[in-house]
Amino acid sequence: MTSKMEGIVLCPNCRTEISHHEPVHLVKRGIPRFKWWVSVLNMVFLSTMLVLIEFGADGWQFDEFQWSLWAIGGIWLIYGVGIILSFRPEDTWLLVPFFFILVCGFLALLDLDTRRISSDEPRFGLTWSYYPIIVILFLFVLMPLVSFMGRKQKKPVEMLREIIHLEEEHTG
Amino acid sequence: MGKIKFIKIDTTPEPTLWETLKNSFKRAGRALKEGIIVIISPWISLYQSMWPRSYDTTVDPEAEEFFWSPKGKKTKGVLFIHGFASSPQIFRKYGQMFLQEGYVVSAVRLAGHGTSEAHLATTTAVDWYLSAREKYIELQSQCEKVIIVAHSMGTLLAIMLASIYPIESMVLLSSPIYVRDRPLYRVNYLLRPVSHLVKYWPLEKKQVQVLDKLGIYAYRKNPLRAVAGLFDCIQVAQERLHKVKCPVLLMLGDNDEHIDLSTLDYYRNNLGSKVIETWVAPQASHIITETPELDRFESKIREFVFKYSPL
Repeated sequence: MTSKMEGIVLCPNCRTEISHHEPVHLVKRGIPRFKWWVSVLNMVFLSTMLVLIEFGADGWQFDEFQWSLWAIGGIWLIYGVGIILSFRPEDTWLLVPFFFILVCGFLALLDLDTRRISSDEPRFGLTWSYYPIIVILFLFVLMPLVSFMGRKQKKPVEMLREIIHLEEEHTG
Repeated sequence: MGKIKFIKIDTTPEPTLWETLKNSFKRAGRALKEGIIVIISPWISLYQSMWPRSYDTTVDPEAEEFFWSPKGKKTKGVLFIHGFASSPQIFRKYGQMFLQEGYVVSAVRLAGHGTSEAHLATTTAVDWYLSAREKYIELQSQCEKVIIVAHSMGTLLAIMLASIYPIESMVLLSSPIYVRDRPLYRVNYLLRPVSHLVKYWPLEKKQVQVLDKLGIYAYRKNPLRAVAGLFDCIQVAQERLHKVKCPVLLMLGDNDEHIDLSTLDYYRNNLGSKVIETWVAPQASHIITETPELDRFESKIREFVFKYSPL
């Protein structure tokens, strides 16, 4: 992928001239790209690492709170939403607030699970997670949604009309 | 004669201390950069997996546009504009027909067509109009007069062009200036909001079978966002209809699944042209270019073009 400008072949990344003597130019300068399984494998490594750390720190006891499972759940949640976004990029405006609603649910669940650790003055049955949930709902859900819905945008049919009108004026 | 010996003389001067240091710093910097890339690669890969996947914009060889020019004097050109989710492929044989008669022939591939449904979903009526306009200007620069032969949505773009530019004559095939009363069409204003939830609307099995049988290149599912663009075209074409002054030949199949025969009356009442010829192809579907009565269809177009735009 190179772009031509006045007969000179330019690198699309750094806009410098590329000669045929250095074919590795594009590979070296560009951001590396990866096969689809690389990220999945890294996620598995990350999850295993967290489980191993917890195993090393507390010993693996199935009847007790296991923080690593929550962390792993969070990581895979982000990844899952990312995958959906990659298939539906034009729906980012809808999916990202939805993702943050999921994050709120996740925090609430985590809070309910950890209530026995800290349970002073719960609001709506929540303790510490009440505050981040409120912040997230306002900053990442309500405000982006309202901003998106209220953006100034011409209707496609109006744009078509305007282009034809301008062209008509131009051609006389 | 003895062999000539080549002695390799190294003419490069010894590097100075500063140059040596500079080179080693460069090497160290490069190693550091590579090392950082290795360390952050897993994180980049995680981030990249979340990047929007780009849609396919590679043009299918079957759907390529064409521009054919005859030898000798080039006085008139025929511009072909295809329909929604279709491609210039449907006009190839008609292009050959006009080329043999001595016309310059050009077929436009509208934006988002001939590539992928996802690509089409990103385009609007403006993009399609600009594609057609670009080809018209290209053709006009080579010929004195231009004739347009258009099919389906292409006819709407042709009407827009003819309302601005001096088109000599037009052949409009299966023109959807208004469409049949169907549930999907009745709620066309909902298409854009709904397209966030339902992206594509697949063709009926029967339609797919017809396309496969005829070997026609067309998308098998319609992006709803782009269908909304089709309705934009209809709206604007209706508004521009009275400005079209050139002779028009309207052709419609009586088995058309999208367009009613009353469309012809609408044209007669609203078109600004004085010369309006019509022909209803018996037993022809929306893909009128593949009508069972192909000979009559071809001769009708031929007669019309030779009558109103002779070479």
